[in-house]
Amino acid sequence: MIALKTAFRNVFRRPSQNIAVILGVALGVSLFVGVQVGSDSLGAGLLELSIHSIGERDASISPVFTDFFINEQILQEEDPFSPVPTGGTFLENLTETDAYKNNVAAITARLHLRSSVIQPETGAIEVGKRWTGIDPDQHPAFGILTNLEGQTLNVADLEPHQIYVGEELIEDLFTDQDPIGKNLTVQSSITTLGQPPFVESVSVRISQNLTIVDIFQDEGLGRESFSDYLVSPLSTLQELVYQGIEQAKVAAFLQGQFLLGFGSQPLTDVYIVWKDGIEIGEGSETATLRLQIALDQIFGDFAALHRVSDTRGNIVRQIDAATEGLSLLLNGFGAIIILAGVLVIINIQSMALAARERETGILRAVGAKRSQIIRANLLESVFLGVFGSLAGLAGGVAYGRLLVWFLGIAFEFETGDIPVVVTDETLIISFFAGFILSQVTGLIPAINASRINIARVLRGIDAPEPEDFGRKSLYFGFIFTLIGILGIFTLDPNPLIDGNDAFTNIDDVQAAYPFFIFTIVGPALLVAYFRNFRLGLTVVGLFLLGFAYFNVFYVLDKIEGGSGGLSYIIYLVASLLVGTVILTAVNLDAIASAGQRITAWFARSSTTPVRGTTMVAFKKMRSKVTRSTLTFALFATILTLNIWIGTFSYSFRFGVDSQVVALTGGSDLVIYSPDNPLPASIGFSQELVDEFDDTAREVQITDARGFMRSPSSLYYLEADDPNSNRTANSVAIGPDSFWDSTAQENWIFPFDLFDNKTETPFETYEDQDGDPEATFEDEVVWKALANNETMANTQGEQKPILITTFIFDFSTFTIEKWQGESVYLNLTDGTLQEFVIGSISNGAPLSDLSLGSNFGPPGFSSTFYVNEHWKDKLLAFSGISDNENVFLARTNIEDQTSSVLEDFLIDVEGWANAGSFQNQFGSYGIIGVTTYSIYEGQLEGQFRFFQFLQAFVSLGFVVGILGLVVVAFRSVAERKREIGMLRALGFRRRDVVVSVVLELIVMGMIGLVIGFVNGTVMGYALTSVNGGGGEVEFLIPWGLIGLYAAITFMSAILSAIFPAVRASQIPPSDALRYTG
Amino acid sequence: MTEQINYTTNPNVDWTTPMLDLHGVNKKYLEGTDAEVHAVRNADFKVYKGEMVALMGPSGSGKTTLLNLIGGLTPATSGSIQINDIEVTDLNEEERTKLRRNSIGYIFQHFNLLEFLTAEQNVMLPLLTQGYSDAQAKRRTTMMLRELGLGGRLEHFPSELSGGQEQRVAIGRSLITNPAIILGDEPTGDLDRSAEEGVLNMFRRINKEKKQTLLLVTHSEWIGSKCDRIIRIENGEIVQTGLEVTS
Repeated sequence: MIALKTAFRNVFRRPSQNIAVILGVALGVSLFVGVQVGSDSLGAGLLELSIHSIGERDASISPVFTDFFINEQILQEEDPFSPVPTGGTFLENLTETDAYKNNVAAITARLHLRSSVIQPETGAIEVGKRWTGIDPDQHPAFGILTNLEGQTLNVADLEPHQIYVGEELIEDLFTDQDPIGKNLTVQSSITTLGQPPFVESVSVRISQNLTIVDIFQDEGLGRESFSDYLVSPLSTLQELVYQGIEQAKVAAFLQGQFLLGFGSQPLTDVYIVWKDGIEIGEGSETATLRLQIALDQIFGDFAALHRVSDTRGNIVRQIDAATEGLSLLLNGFGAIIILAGVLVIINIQSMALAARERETGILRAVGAKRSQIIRANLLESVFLGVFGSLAGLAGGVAYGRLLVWFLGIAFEFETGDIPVVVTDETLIISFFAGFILSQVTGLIPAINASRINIARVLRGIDAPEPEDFGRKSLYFGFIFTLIGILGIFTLDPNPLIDGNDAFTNIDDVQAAYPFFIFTIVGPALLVAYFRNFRLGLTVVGLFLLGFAYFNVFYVLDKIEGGSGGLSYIIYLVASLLVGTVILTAVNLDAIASAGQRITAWFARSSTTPVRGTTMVAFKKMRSKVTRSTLTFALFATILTLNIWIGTFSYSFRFGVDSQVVALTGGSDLVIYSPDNPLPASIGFSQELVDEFDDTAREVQITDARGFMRSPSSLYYLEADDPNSNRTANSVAIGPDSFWDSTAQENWIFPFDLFDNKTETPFETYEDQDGDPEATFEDEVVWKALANNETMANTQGEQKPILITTFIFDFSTFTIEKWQGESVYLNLTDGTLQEFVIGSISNGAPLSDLSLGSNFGPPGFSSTFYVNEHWKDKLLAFSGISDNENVFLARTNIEDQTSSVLEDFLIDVEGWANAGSFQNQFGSYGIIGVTTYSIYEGQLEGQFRFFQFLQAFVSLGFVVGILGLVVVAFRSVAERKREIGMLRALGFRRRDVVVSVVLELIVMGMIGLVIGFVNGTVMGYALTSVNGGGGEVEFLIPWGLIGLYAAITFMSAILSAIFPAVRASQIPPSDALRYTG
Repeated sequence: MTEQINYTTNPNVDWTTPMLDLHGVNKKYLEGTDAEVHAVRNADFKVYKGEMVALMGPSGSGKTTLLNLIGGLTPATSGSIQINDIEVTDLNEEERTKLRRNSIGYIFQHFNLLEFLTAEQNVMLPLLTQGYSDAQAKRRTTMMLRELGLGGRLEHFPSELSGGQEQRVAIGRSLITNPAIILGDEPTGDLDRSAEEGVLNMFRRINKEKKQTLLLVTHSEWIGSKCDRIIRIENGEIVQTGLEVTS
């Protein structure tokens, strides 16, 4: 009890030392809590971001074809021309099912039309906008429209020719004028089918002049897509669609054709909110399935053309899967930052005990036992651990909030939308982790303190650094060797037996790594014990580095798959770090001498006492090997992490030019007409080239090609399985679309193909070394497609080919079809045609554009490339033949990221969407994007995550600076007498300051060099693994590294300057009297 | 009782050139407060070029303070201190530092060697602060340490040296810049008698061979007896300069 009281009193007796310990522990706990909070909030935040767009909607029913309607007419077999389907409307049928009654709390029906909106006075056109019909009686869960004054708007108040317009759309169309009361022309195209079903799809256009009654902000809970759309009552829009199709039917009938229409109440979406008891996940999945089955039973073929989606559940599942990996990554990086924090704590604890060395010496001299010294120090450490951990919890929550704030910036959230998730579990685990950490880090210095040489301490002589680990080298060397060898024997596959085959799965490599490390480190420690300590350590360092490099430059290249990998990456970083730190520490003497010589050389003509100053700084650093090592290791860790992430994300951001060129077929711009395909007769490509063929312009279009892209088509993975249907976009290419090299010799890049082209049966080209030449191989496959060549299917039958982007199942994250396998497309005669996949495209602008749609994210649907021969026979292209809607343009601008291209596109849109063009060719509406931006858009999520990760790891600098501050204070405190002596010898105040600061700068710079080497190697490793076989060029962000160097440099100066200046101001006579 | 020094005992002394000249030097701590301490009172004495002088007095008499005042480590409250005709009390902090660097050699009781520097590096440090190159500094240091009998200890760290050897390194450090005066603060205080004798002989040799002026603060009457004269201080006052003429 007395010991407890004494320990408690001691906590307050040495405020400055103990505050440092408390701060150190608090820092560790804060990092721990912060990483957990950040990681938990990341998942919650991403979920929030993803579900933001669906509002309160839990599920939805929609047509499989995105531009079609929920087709009531198909339900009616007796009379396809009757406006009212047999047995009631779709909604009436739906609401009668048990699946609906048991599970659905609220429902609303919507009709969306993709539309062009024209401002008649200026001729301005906005394309790809949505005209939405809203049910006036919809449940409040689906949102309420409010105008700019916050008043509720009710669509029931609108006349048929009146409309509410979203705020964002108004801003695009009207600049200075008051839009209320003005007219807008809205053009929509709707697609219907011929009779008998699927013979031909027909595009029907509706054009309306509408008056703007009010402007709405946002639909609130039922957000559609923010506020860039138009709103009418559902019934008004349904009537328009119905009448439009009816008129088209009459016109077709008069021409001897039959069109299949829709019912009088066509819908594109039905939104559903589940009842309270249905939990998102298994509950919502079951409810969705029940609804699907119920609808199938009522509507028969309904399942083939319509789907019920567990919208919220799917998002949650996808986010869970995605954030699991991200959280792991965050925790992995967090662990490394926490390791840096532990280095700081160890340093602080050692500092605290070193500072009271003399006191300990006196206690021992007057008879205190070693156990009493340890107990006293540990008891004090208990109080410090408790205080530090409690403070750390508070700091950690603040740090977590900071991370969430970064998350908000990186992902462009409104920060309020991201919940800060702080669980009890996090707090409890963090508290005890911090407490235990403080005790463990306090124990070793406490034991060391009890072992002091009393006479030496009382004489004020510094303890020499221990020369070796003593018998610890023997024990650990033996144990590590044993574990390593036994572990390697248990490996299956075993690299020693199976060679490279053992490297194909990252999980196997990950499992093997630690055993090899043990086998390396163990014998080296034995060498340290039996032969030479320094030699042993050098061997450990070299082996660790060598093994890490072997993995980075050899093993990584062999890895083909596996589920894990995070631990492997951490092993690699740890090996690199420990290896470089050990080698540096072992050679610190040589490094210090070299540093001293270099600075002396620079100062060779100086008359100031700089040589004396530098000698003191370098020799001091060398003499305190443990402290110096802890310090530069701290910076090495932080900088390795930062430079690693920096090089990786920089390479991924800017090293993709060649990849983009391949993916985009060499084109720089994509210009497309999302709503109304331009008739080929317009010759838009040529118009574009002519209009902008101005040699004085910086951007010069050298070529432009038009393509036709179908809105969507139905295909089957297996011909005899009706459930294997999917939708895809199709692009028709002509024989001269890409490879008319005689006419356009520069236009030689076909789109990049993913598949192993050496397996294609088509003629291949070889380069001088006999290796297949990728560019030509791509060209071969594309040419085979353009020339309508055939290829054997899995049964050996020759079938026409197509090229596809990845056919991906997002529910399982698997690729469903590979090269050589077949898919089946609908032909206009109602039959299915088998195509063999000739190759898989890595994606291209034509496939990645979600043309004119707000209906789904880009890149989520597969795209088939077919030739013109099949285009005419495919149902997907029927009714829109001879039109083109996508144009690729090539310019003379080399830099695809250039903002000049963006500016140029504004001119192109201005020209194509202006009154004169529309008057000449009709209102089509053109959108221009750079091909790079499409690619960028696809990788946006990754870029944002990198950004967040960089912000996250750069917080490690806070740890680093704190570490330096500790070292600076410690260094100055223990050098008071020495500083007095230096001053007596003729060191000026500023010489003292410079020597202290220089010592820290050098340690920081050693950390920087280690961090640069390791970070760059790790960046290279990660880039080569994730860059898809070297398609991402590895780049070193010199600017960023310069910034890190500057931060390190400034950190060292700022950390040391205050204590150094203060120490230099102590009168030398006082400092000389100081006994520590 | 006062005694007269035998002017002829040390033929190296240049009695026409005072190397150190103190006149009316006072040092007060916490001046103007109730706790004011008058550590040095009207100190007046001279030390001539080539002299080896002992400054003696009981504990707390102001010896070390006086030495610190002379070395410019602490400023005097009033009075004049001249070293080699340079008025120390007129110098600012920077100039005092320069004076120490170029004109004063310091030897401390606890040697005050830098633990992380070898014997050679400790000695060459003052030369480096004067702007010497490494090679030049090394050459002079090696010669100096050989002269001091430490030729085989150049690469040894202080912790690897005996107390006597450490103090010889400290002497080497104080001598290496050819200072005008060496100030020793209990330079043999931490040594046993035999080491003390060795160090004293070294002082004498330096004094004799290099005509080096030394002012040594000491408790040891034996050391005092080996110096040219003894200046005694009690309660901050100089009570004996050793140059008084007995009547």
